[in-house]
This record gives sequence, structure tokens and C-alpha cells, in this order.
Amino acid sequence: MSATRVGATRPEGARAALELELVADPALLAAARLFAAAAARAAGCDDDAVEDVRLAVSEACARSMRGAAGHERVSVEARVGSDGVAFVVDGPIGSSEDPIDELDLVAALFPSSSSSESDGRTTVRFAAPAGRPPV
Amino acid sequence: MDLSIDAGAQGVWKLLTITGEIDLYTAPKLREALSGTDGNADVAVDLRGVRFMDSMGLGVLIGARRRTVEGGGRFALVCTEGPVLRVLDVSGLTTVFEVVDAPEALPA
Repeated sequence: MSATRVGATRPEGARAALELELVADPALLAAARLFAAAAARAAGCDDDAVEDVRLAVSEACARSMRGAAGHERVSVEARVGSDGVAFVVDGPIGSSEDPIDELDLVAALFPSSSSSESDGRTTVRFAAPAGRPPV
Repeated sequence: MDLSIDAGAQGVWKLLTITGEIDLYTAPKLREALSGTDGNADVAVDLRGVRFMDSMGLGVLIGARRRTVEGGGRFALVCTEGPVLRVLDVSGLTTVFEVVDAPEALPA
């Protein structure tokens, strides 16, 4: 079983869907950040927005990886369009042990972000517009 | 992913110079390095070489600052524009830490 899987599709419509799947190993957080930055650059986000995307994706993945069993999976989906990029991070429900809650930080970076929990998993969604920083 | 930590001094300050990325994976290394600075020493953490830091790294710094101040020491961060200041700003912690832009700017 590989530790990561990367896929790309272009369903109906203009948006290209990219997906990265990771085992819940914090050593792979850097790979998630590389993926997120590449998707944001492909969408035309400026440098500040790319940095915010890296941080938000890393926080959402880290939240899910906390306390997760090593075989559990975390996925990052990026839908790249001419107006920006939309991310969906899905993984096991984690817990925050630090003074700064990961999901609060994502919300501060992207006020329109949302998170939900269902069937033992957390799904975090946010979008970064092309050409300008999100906040 | 790498994180390197070099220990040195700047005047009366014990100076830890950090290079790399700080996240859930690497933050324990930073916590361990900072745990060795407990006491009444003045501690500064040079983060100018940090390319990424998340809330886990912030948590480590908050804990280290609390221990240092409770021990009677001072705690400061050395950083300039970049990912560290961004995460401090977004989390509302800019005013919690004493921040200088170079080790030479640490108060005597």
C-alpha cells in the first residue's frame, strides 16, 4: 500500500479536479502543502494567497492526523478554475491539544470556510480566489 | 522535511536559531530544544530561517514563553516578514510576543 496517491480528472465543466490521498502520517504534511501550493498557483492565486492555502491545508490535515491510526486516510481535493481554487480536506475526526485550534486558524484565513463531522470524519471546505489574497 | 536548531547566545540572551518547517511532525523537536531553556534565562528564538509554521509551532512557542516568564526570564522572537509573522497575525498573537527583526535588536 503506498503512502500517497495523486489523481487528476476533468469532469464536465471547466474545473480540473486534483486529489491527493495520504495515510495519516504527520511526516507527509509537507507533501500536502506542496500539493496545495501547486493547485493554488495553477489557479492563479498570488503569493500571499498561496501561503495562506498552504497553511490552511496543512492545519486541516494535521487536525485529522492527530490521534489517527496510521492506516487511516486523509484526502485533499482541489478544484481549479479560472476564478480560483476550492479545497476539500477530509479525514478522521481529530482533536486539538494546542492553545490555537487548527480549524479556528483555517476560519481566520478563509472566513467563508466550513467544517462538518459525519461518520467519524471531518470535512473542511474553503476557497481561494485567483489574483488576490483571500483576506 | 527538515528542522534544524542551533543554540547560541546574543548578549545575555540564550538564542535558538531555527531553520526549516515547523508542523505537527517537527514541532516536538522544537519543544525538546526549548524545554532545556527553562529557568530564569532570557530566551530568544530566531525564526528568520523558518519557511513554514503552523498552530502546533505556535503552541510550542506559547508554552515556552509562559515557562520562561514564570521563571523570571524574558522571551522574544526574531523574525521578519514571512510565514511566521503571518501566522502570528492571523492567530491574533502579534502583541503577545516580543518580536524583533534581528538578534542585535534584542534589548540588553
